[in-house]
Amino acid sequence: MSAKVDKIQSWPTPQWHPDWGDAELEMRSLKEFSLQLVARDERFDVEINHIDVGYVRVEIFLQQRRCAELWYTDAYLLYHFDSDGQEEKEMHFADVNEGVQLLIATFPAIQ
Amino acid sequence: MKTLPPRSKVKPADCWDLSSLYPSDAKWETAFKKWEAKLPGYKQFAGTLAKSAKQLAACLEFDLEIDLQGEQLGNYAFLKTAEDVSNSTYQDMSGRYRHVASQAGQLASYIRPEIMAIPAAKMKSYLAAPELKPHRLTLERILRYKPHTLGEGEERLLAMQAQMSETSNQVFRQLNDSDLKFGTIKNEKGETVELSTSSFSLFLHSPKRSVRKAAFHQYYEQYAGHENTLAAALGGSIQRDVYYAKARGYESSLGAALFHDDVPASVYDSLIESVHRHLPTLYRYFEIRRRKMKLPDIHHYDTYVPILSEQDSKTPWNKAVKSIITALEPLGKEYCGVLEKGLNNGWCDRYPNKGKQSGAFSSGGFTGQPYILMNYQPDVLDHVFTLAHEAGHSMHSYYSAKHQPFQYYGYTIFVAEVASTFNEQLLSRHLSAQAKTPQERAYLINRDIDAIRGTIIRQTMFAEFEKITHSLAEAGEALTVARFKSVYRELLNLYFGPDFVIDNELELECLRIPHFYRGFYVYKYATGLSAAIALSERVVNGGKEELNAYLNFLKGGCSKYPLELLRDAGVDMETPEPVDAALTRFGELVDELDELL
Repeated sequence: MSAKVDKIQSWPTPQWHPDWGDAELEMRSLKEFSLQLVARDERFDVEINHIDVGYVRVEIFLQQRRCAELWYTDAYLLYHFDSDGQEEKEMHFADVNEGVQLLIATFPAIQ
Repeated sequence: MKTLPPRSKVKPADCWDLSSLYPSDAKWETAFKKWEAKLPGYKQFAGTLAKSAKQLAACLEFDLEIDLQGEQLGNYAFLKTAEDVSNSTYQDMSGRYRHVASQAGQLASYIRPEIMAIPAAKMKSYLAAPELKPHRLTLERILRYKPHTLGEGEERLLAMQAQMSETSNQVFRQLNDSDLKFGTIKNEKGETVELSTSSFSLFLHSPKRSVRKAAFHQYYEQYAGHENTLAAALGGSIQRDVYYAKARGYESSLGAALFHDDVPASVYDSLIESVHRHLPTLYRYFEIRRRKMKLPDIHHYDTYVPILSEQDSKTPWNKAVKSIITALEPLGKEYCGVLEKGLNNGWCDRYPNKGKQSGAFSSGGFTGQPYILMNYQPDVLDHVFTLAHEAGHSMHSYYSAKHQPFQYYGYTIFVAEVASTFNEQLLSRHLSAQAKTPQERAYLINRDIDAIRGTIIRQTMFAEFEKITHSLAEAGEALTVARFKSVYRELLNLYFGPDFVIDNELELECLRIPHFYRGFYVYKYATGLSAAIALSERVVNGGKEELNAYLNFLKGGCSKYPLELLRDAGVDMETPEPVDAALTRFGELVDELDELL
């Protein structure tokens, strides 16, 4: 658990032109969501993906399967996928709690 | 008197060869019909752009295809019309093209607002998608306007105001171009000639001081008689800039004007500061001019007539091309080879003919080769410089089109004058080195001095005037005739120096400069020539690395913002160095001229 937290906290903030948005705010928001998610449901793991200058997202894994990706600019956007990894649904939210709950509810634990 | 030949009698070898666009008018007609028939295709994407990255990419590709074909069609019609502006076939062709291009613009008008309406995080995820990678920069450039884009209702109101907001400019244009009558005046031969906005500069070039002086005073009499109307028009134009900047949430009207090119205000301020530092050199130049012209004092109307008359020279076309190619040798074999072949084989429409568009221009497109319109006269040395200048634009177009995709090949105004004036710099160096007499050399040096004076120093004075008057409006101060004149008088005193006689009428110049009615444009002339001088020095004194950096700039189109393109080429316009270097060169030229005279 603490390894996951340490990993998230070590994600560096990229440097980019303000045209691509506020990099600090973006990283802070992505970290906040990721930390809450792994704290509340240990089935999930997260990886940061710096796609290109100005573009960063969080890949979310559920028991090693890529199940969602998270974006942030002025609000959150979450794409979550079905078992084939195909894009399934998009969710927009501003509140981290709400988003984390939605994601956990989307992938209920098998009893 | 020698009369101009009709277009039909001009030798094909002296004409441009437009077959790289269309081999015939009939082929143009076929392509035009096909293009027109494609336009309804815009409808299939309306309302669907937020569906997926793939859908957005498909729409952008469709739009690019229409633009690309439109550019080719438009270029052909435009160039054919320029051959003989009285030819009704090509007037009709141009008219039909413009009509359909405007329809295409209307049909595509939903694209931008739909893109803007896509939620930011979703758009970011789209932009990272591989399908949209080729369009990422286009989209980023649209999206950076988002903080300055208002709600639908407010945008509609702003759009409705657009025509009304042009009233100040129209008042100025109507007054300046139609209603003001400047009377007649006697030229140096004693002939009575009409004084007009276009003939005024000819009178200022008169070797006879009494003619220049009379023209100056008579010309400004009209502006003095209409100064209140003109001040109201200029004030209205400035208030419009301030209004739109405020409405769209820019920090200032200057910030709004610089936003498009992503130029920080510090570049503008630094230009003004650099020019201020070098003004004593300009004062010295005016004193040399006064001395050489044997004048008791120097007035504004003494600053246009050449100190030295043009040297008798005859440069036939082939010799001009050869001279330009030799001058441009520092740009390497490929550059020179492509240009020489182009100038000798169909890039250029060389000589005047009846009905041909006057002046000179370069027209480069993504498809086909670049084209140059000249009205070349072998006995006018300045035309060799004009050809080198237009060739610079053409090679910029050639390289950008060859190395960039269509959406990123078109270079912006900010960098457009760099490639052209760069070539003039090299030509001037070459001809100066070849000059056979001190007079010939002095003529060329004086030409360079006047270019820097007119393009860097004078335009910076204009830029400073625009900055001050827009700031006054932003501070809520009234823009009256008296205020405009006092601001301008202070600038005239500063830019012309303590020994220059400034006639009171010259204060009215600020009301008659057309560029002042489209705020914050002129500084680009000054930055452009400064960059060109700095780059030409780098290339001439440098090696392979410097040359490649410059060629990469020519290949860059608009794939980066202008300052970034220039920085990569080796010139950082965010520092004072390039402008300082250009003005240091100005000082060296003034020294050399002083010695030669």
